[in-house]
Amino acid sequence: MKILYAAPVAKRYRAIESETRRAAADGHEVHLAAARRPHWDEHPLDARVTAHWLHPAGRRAPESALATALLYRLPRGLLRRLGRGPLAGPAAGALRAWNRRVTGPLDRRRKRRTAEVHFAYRRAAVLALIEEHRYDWLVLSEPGAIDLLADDLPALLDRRPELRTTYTYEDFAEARDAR
Amino acid sequence: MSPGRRVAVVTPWYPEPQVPFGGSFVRAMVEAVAPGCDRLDVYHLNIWTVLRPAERRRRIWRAQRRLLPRSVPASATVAGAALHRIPVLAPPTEDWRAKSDAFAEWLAVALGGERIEAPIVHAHVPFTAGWAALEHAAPGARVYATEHASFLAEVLAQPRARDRYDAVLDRLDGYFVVGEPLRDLVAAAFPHHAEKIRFIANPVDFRASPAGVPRDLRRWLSVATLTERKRIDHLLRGFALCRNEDPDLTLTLVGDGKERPALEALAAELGVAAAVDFRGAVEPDAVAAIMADHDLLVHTSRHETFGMVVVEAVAAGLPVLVTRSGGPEHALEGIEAACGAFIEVDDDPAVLAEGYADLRGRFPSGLDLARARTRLAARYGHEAVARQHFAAWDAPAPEAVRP
Repeated sequence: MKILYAAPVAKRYRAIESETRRAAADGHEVHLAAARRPHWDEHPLDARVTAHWLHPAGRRAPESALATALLYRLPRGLLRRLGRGPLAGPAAGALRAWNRRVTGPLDRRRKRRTAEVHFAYRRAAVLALIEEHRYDWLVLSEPGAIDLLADDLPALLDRRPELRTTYTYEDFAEARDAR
Repeated sequence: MSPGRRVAVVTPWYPEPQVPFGGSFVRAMVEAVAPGCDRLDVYHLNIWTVLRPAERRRRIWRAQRRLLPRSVPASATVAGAALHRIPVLAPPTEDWRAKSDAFAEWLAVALGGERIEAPIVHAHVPFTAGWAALEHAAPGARVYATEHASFLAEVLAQPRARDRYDAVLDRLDGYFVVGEPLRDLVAAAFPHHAEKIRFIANPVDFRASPAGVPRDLRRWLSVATLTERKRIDHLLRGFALCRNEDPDLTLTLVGDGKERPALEALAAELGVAAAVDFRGAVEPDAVAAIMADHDLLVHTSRHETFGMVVVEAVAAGLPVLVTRSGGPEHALEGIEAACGAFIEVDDDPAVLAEGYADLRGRFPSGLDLARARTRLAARYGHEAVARQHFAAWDAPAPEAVRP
């Protein structure tokens, strides 16, 4: 069978390594969609497993250059310059207050928006894999995998009721019969 | 399997590739009792924490309700038993009653509106899996539970969780603990249920003969997660002190945990890094072979509900140096001196060093490892523990014995 092992967060890297190896050893064609973990540098994935790394490198929420200049560079530069003179104490306090009240909330909002961009990228990447490869079996090995496909699973299961879904790859009696 | 009993085991812990030793005592219980059952199904209710805002969680929950009933086929586990892995989605919470509800909720979804078929249901951890089992056992099924949780005091400190635990105790057909500390805790919290509390052992495999013979107690071994409760930092300090006297001592640490970097740094700071082997987590099946290459198990935990690894060490023919941490005193009752020595839970490394010196002074003639092993096999061997379970499950229901 053709299996997609989805682990977008990939915290359970030992399980991913061992279960994909086992699936490949059982004769399945195994694709892994995951964030790459340093653990696999020392414990390589099985060579028969096709890995699709979900790395949204460089993708960030758009930022306004004007807002960056007005809210980050100018006030911080000014306060840092003041901090080198006799107003060092008040300037340092003002800089901390600016960071806490203005740029801190902005940074959190940007981080949240960037996380949404990353999520959308991973979702699109996994959906494209599902579309392209028409897998027989989806292993949703972590909460992140269900989260990623939560909006798409109902329609997918309606469209493909024969699609096998599990949360692990193990020695399933049904799968043994199907091989 | 032999005919007669149809049993379901419901548990929050069961070994899996990510945590191969997690819940190994539940698997050992399954391995012990399955040969005496016609059919045995394990429901592993595995908590999956979902760190997402409430609105997103609602969507995830909706998808999971659709997904779960079609996604938990049985896989094979030990001794012919069948295993169903059921993720229990829950937001991060310290509210134990809410966690307990999540276990019951997701088991219901996985069962697809049906009940657990088996007429005997045995849960591990009454508060989580036990509650789920009680809520979804078939009418007339008998439900038992064994408490192992080292964090039970924390659960019972929450009034709503305590009320739930009281209700669970009330409804169970049998309630077991694996050691005296848990019995004392539960009896003190629920004196009206004290009579219901029974001991049941975690099974340990005594079937193979010890593969090695301890030589001179120089090759120390610890099998424990690297967490604060296990006090591996104190083990390292005690080891360093003993090694000042005997530079040939070595220490193997089997287990992993978030304290590992700090412990590696401590070993370096104490000047014993070259003598300490951080082996990491290993498969439970590999532990016996590792024990065969060592002379002494040193267990420095602050608190244990049972102390299974201590019994496993005696089964493997190793003497033990172990802290008075609750469970081990109960587990080794009557054979303490025959199998090793106890030390107090004390932060002074000299306490461990003195315990080691005493044990080494008595080794080998002052110990009787063969006698200790035979005694423990009679208490904790697979056959013995299976008999304890069967005696509970096969006992006539209270209604049946009424005149």
